[in-house]
This record gives sequence, structure tokens and C-alpha cells, in this order.
Amino acid sequence: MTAGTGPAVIAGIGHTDYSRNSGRSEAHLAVEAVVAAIGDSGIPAHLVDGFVTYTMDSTDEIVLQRNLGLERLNYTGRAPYGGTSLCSTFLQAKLAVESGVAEVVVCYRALNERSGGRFGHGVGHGFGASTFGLSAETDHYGLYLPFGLRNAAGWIAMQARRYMHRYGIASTDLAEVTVAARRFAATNPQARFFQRPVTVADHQASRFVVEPLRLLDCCMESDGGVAVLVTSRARAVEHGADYVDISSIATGSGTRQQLMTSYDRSDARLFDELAVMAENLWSRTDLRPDDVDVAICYDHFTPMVMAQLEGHGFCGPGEAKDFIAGGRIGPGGTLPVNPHGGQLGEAYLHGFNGVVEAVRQLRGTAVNQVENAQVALVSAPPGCPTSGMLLTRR
Amino acid sequence: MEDRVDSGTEGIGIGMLNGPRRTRPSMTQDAAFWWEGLSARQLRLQRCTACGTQRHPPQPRCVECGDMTWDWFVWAGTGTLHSFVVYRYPELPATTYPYCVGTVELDDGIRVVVPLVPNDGEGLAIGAAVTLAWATDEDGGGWPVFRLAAAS
Repeated sequence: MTAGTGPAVIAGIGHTDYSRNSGRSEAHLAVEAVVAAIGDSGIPAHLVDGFVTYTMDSTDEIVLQRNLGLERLNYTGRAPYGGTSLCSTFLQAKLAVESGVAEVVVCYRALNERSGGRFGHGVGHGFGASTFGLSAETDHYGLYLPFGLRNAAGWIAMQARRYMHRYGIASTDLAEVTVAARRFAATNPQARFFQRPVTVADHQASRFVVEPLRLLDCCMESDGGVAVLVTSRARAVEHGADYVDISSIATGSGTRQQLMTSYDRSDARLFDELAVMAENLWSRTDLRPDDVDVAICYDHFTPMVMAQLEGHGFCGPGEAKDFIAGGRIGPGGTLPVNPHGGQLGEAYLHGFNGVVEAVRQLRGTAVNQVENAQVALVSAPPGCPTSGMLLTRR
Repeated sequence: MEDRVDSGTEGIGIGMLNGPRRTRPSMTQDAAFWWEGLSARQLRLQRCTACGTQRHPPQPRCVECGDMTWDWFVWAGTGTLHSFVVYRYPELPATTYPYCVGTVELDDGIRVVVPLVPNDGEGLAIGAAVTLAWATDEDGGGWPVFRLAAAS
């Protein structure tokens, strides 16, 4: 093992198109995205020696190795629990690079989530065995699925109703999150909802999926692949990569933690994993929420964006509904949230497209560019052990 | 479907029981007592043998005293509604829609996720007193369903 070569940075981004039906395998999407990320970095492909993805991903690290013709890998890793582990994959990559275990690690996620097994169709309906297998997760969900609590919309809705009840949050408040995301997506040509903004009235007219969540509270199941390359700053500089720094990164699991169903907590600790993660994240930096120019908040369901704004201290507990009112997280708002349109507007790819957007904002190359963006928050949602990171322009 | 409905649940039409086949439970040694209890029309909850602390969901170890021996007791079936959801879309083949699932807080603070009626959630509210009734599932076993106490 060689010694680490200084702090890890994000040096390359790549992705496929985002669609309803990719027409190609998940492995194909993963390879495309990884090749694009390597190309974007300028780092020679043969230097890639590590991969990290979610336990849920269907494309093995060694499949990528074979497709890229890499003679060796020095690190492979997986992060559990799905999208809440978005930044956990980057933590693994960063630790591998900084410890010298690996030099160039690509984090990736590729899925035919719209044309293949749709998450919304629930565990046990084209989504079961291949995703969850026989595991502790099967045992856990086994207590809930037979009673019909069978998909993320339902797991989240149970907490969302409690959250909404406690703070007097109405469905029209949730609509603000969707309206902002769809306004951004409307001007993003690669977004699935390009040129299709919605109003609060549209949100209210959309049918309930799992009450209290409406169709327009839910992200857009999508096909696609995304990859992001992590390496040492020295390596990035050597190859002229347009890199961004990882100023802070954290994970967190909360009290009485379960997968999506931590329903036996007090209201004050409803989203405790988020509180733990945020405390860890912000204690490792001098940056404060006021310094954030762009916030990427994992938007699988609208109430969880509000929970993240509160959890990171952009506003106090219960204040998100006022914080987001009047377009303040949308185009031209005081805190642009998910300027790519997020997973409500661009595509649902387990959060990875949000990391791409954060990097583009800091590079100054985003389609909905926030002027002089220097600090970007990337946050995963509550629900399972979660993660976040602060990225800064070098 | 009416032949599945027991005394106390007549005419309710439980959405989760009206489909062709519900999802089968995953049964480990830690949780089998819960499912066996349903067959016997009992809501069984886990209890530490050493210190008597009750817990749910089932797990091997008591966090209060660390003991790993346990038994179960039968819960009477009254509590308050902590939260609930109503499934409406997409309509998957195993079930008829809408149907309702809730988290019920037992009188001693333990919370369980259980089916609720009415299926569309009409009249349900956080904090409402709820009570247990039993129906029969397609295998002849007991199926717990909670309803407003005032309606029982």
C-alpha cells in the first residue's frame, strides 16, 4: 500500500440520457456513465483502480473492470440502504484514496428503474428478490409488507403525515417543492420534465398515490446511469481535471433506526438519522448554512426536502413550509434547491444526478447556473442511515 | 369475500383481504411468534424474561438489561392512532384499492404497524382511539384490523 496523496477531490462526472426506456442493459448504462466520467476528468482510464456503488446496483464492479479492460482493481465497495447512502459511496471513495488503498475510484449508479422493476410497484412485485435478496432487509420488511406497507411512498407517507400533523403542513405547502423543481426542470433540456412546469393547482389536481402524498409529491422513476470520479487532488491537477473539493462529508444513523420504518421515535427525533448526519457534517467544517449557494436535497418525496432544509439548519424545526413559500427555493430564489430540477423534475437516479449538478454548479457550467456558486450542499434524505457532503470550488 | 369477515368487521370490506393473495410474511426465529399469534387471533408482543421490558419489532436482545431470553404476552388491542396512510395508486394485483395501513400506539407506548379500516381512511385522525377486530385471511388465519373505538 502506498501512502495517501493528499485530500480526495471530485474530478470527473458522466451520465447517460435520462429516459422512460433506455433500451439497453443496466450494465450498458453503467459502462457508458463511467467512461464519460473518466473522459470528463482527463485522467487515463487505465489509472482507475476502484469502484463504489450501492448494494442495490445490479452492475458488479468487476463487470465494469472487464468492460474497461482494467487489469487490476485495488478497491471495491458497496453502501447499503439505497439513496440515503448517496454520499456514503463518496466517503468510501475518499477514504480509499486518502489512505492510499486506491488512487482513482469511480462511484456509479445505473438502473432501468422506469422500464424495469419499478420501485413504486413495491417489494415483491418485480422488485423483490433481485433487490433485497434473502437478508436482514427481507426480515425487516417482512413485518410490514404483508400488511400492505409495500413501497417507499407508503413508508415515507407514514412519517410525512406525522411531520405534517405536528407542524400544520398542508398539501399546498408540499406543492412549493414540486413547483420549484419543475420550474428548474423546464429549462433543463436533459430533464424528463423539460418545458413542463407545473403550478400549485396542478399539484393539487394530481391524484393521491399514498395519502397524504400525491403523484406530484413523488419523484420520476427513470432509466439512466451516472458516474462520478474521485481521486487525489495531486492526480487531478496532474491531468488538468476541473475538480471540486470535498470540504466535509458525513454519514449518520439515528436512535431506534430501522429501514424506512423508524416509527417508534418521539416527534422531536422523527428524522434522527438526518440530525446525526448534519451534526457530523457541519462540525467538520467552518462553513455554515448561510454559506451554501446551491443545495442539492434528495427529493424522492417532497416532505423530505423540507425535513432536510430544517435538519441542516437553513431554518428551524417546522419552519420549512415558510422557508420555501413564494418560490424561495426555485429559480432566482434565496436558496436554489436542485437547480437541475431534482429527482422530481430531471430524473430519479438514486440521487447521483444531484452530485453531477453540484459539480457543474461549482464549475460554472450548469444549465441553470447560480451566479458565482462556491459552496454546494449535497444531502441524502432521512429514512435510513443517511449521508451528506459539502463541495466547494477550488 | 364476505366469508372471510368475522364478527365485528361485517360489511367493512377489508381492502388488503380482497385481492387474490397478499404478500407472505418473512418468518425468522425472532418474529415467528408474531405470525403464529395472528393465526391464533392474538397480537403477541415480545417481552424480556429477565427485566420484563416489552419491545417491538422483535429482536434478540433487550436494550434495557442486555438479556437475550424472552417470551411474549398477548396485547389487549386498544391504543391510539399515531399515523396512517391510504394506498390508492398504482393499483397492484395482489390487493383491492384503496386500503389503509396505520401505526398504532399501544397504551404502554409500543407502536405497531397494522391494517386499518375504513379502507379510504375516512374519519381517521392522528390521536384517535382505535381498537382491534379480527378477520380471516385466505389461509384461514387471523387477520388483525384496527378501527375507531367509537365505531366498535
